[in-house]
Amino acid sequence: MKKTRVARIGLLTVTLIGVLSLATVVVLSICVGSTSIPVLDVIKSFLAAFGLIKRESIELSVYMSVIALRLPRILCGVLAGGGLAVSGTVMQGVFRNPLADPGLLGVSAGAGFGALIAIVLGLSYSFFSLPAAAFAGSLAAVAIILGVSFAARGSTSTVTLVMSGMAVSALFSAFTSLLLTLSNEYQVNKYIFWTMGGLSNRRWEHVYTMLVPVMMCTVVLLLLAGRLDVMMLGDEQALALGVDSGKNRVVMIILASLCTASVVCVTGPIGFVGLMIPHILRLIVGPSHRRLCISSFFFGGVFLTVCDTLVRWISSFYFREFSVGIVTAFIGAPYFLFLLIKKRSSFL
Amino acid sequence: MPKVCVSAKKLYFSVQNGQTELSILRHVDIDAYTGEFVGIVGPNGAGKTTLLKALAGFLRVKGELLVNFNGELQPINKIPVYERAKQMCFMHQDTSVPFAFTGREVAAMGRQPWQGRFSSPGDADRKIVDEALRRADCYEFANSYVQNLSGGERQRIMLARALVQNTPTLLLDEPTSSLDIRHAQKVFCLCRQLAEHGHCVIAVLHDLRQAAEWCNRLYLMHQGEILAHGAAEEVLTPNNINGAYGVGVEVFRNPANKWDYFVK
Repeated sequence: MKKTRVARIGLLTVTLIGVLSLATVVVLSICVGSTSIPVLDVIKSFLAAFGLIKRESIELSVYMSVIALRLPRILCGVLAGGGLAVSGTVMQGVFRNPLADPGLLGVSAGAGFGALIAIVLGLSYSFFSLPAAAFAGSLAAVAIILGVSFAARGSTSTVTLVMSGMAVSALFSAFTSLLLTLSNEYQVNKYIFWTMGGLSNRRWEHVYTMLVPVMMCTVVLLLLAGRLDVMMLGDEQALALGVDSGKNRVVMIILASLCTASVVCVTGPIGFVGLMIPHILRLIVGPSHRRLCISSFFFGGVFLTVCDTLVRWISSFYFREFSVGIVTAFIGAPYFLFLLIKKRSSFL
Repeated sequence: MPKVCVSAKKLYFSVQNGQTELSILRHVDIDAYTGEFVGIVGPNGAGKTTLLKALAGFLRVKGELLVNFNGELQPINKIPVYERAKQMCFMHQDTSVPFAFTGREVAAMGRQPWQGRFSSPGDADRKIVDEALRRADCYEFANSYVQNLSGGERQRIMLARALVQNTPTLLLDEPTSSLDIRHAQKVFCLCRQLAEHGHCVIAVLHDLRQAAEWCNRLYLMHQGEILAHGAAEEVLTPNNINGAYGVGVEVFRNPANKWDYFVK
């Protein structure tokens, strides 16, 4: 193994393959559903939506189910998967630890508590209040953690951050449990349904809610990703290479948490995407963070879209939808264990 | 005409050791010029690595620390971090890297200060990395994973990274600690070459024979202070060595007419 040459795929190739795979997966997954739609009709609908061909050239019911029903749900999946995977990659890099995931700093626990408050207060009937409350919850969690690390004499060491993240997560979980014991059955059910995460009935409003924060965070993180490589050498060595690890760490954590929070508040927590996608891609494109981040966005999107398509396909037989988090975990967990057994863990 | 690269006066640094304050650097004065290979020697715990880190600007030290920046001496904390990285590099003793980076990828990280945020490494960057890998004698295994390399090989990769950074001043913390005699010799030769080409190399060293043979000037440290500095013959006297290390030695010229010693 020692003297083997390691060949790497270039940044441009990675991006190109990512774009093409994502586009293919999006188009193909629109075809799948309670009624199958031919690929040609899907492409025609796209062209009609952009006004490139006449809308009359395609059947209205087909056009509506492509553009108004399936596309927004799939775009939600793309944004959620991409955002979670990029955040996971950045978190693993920032903490120099392959076990970090986007929820490490209490984002998920905070979002859960926020969502539960909205449910208990009966705010969940309007479209925006539940996501807004979940978002506020995650921001509160991250704010507390950063506040603690600043109060500890500006210490942004990874240990301080992880420890306070664990403490804050535990605190929010305790609040959630307390509130759950005080809630009625309907509210508990509703909360449990939310915690399973899912993309069913997601519409264009949901896409628009996520679009700006997720894309903004992703783009900035992509630009900063080069610094993450240098930060792998340790704080002092990074400083000698012109990168202030402390400052960059805080900025990246805020961006990754913001990105995760915007996803989680719309879809609920979806596990394994943020943890697993970076691992798998690291084996394929190598640990260099520019390539890793950009491929994480595309293949996180691909992975979640495929999982959600599976959900839609299976539920078209049973007339009952289940959460996409179940599929990501069913695919993700065994694969993860397989990786560990294959002793590739030292390469992760 | 040699220029001052680093000039430190009355550097003081202490850490909190439980209830008491432990001073690691006590009013250290040190200067280094272009074209010089300066060695810092001394027993364990004398503060050598701390001094090197202080010079690199990693620590909040008291005292005056000036660095050559754009032709004039300026206080190091007035210079932005990314500009500092174009002036001096630092080679750490710790050579571990998480995740499966290849040696070449680690060496190429030395280009970071010279690269724009948006630009990808081009042919020119690749050439610089290739040359540095050859000079540090690690071209053959540069495409292997760093974590599969031996300690000495990793150390050479780290040296290549320092060369890639191509700074006027190089701070090296025990650059030969894991190297075999042949490669240690090569690294000393390289440091000397760098100095002759106008760089300023400051290295923490343990081997007194090699320090005496290769360095232009030595600083002998003991308990956070500079015990002696100057040419090897003046610094490494039996008296000074006894004062710093607490061992009686005899100093002599070996058959190759180089400075040598044995412990009595």
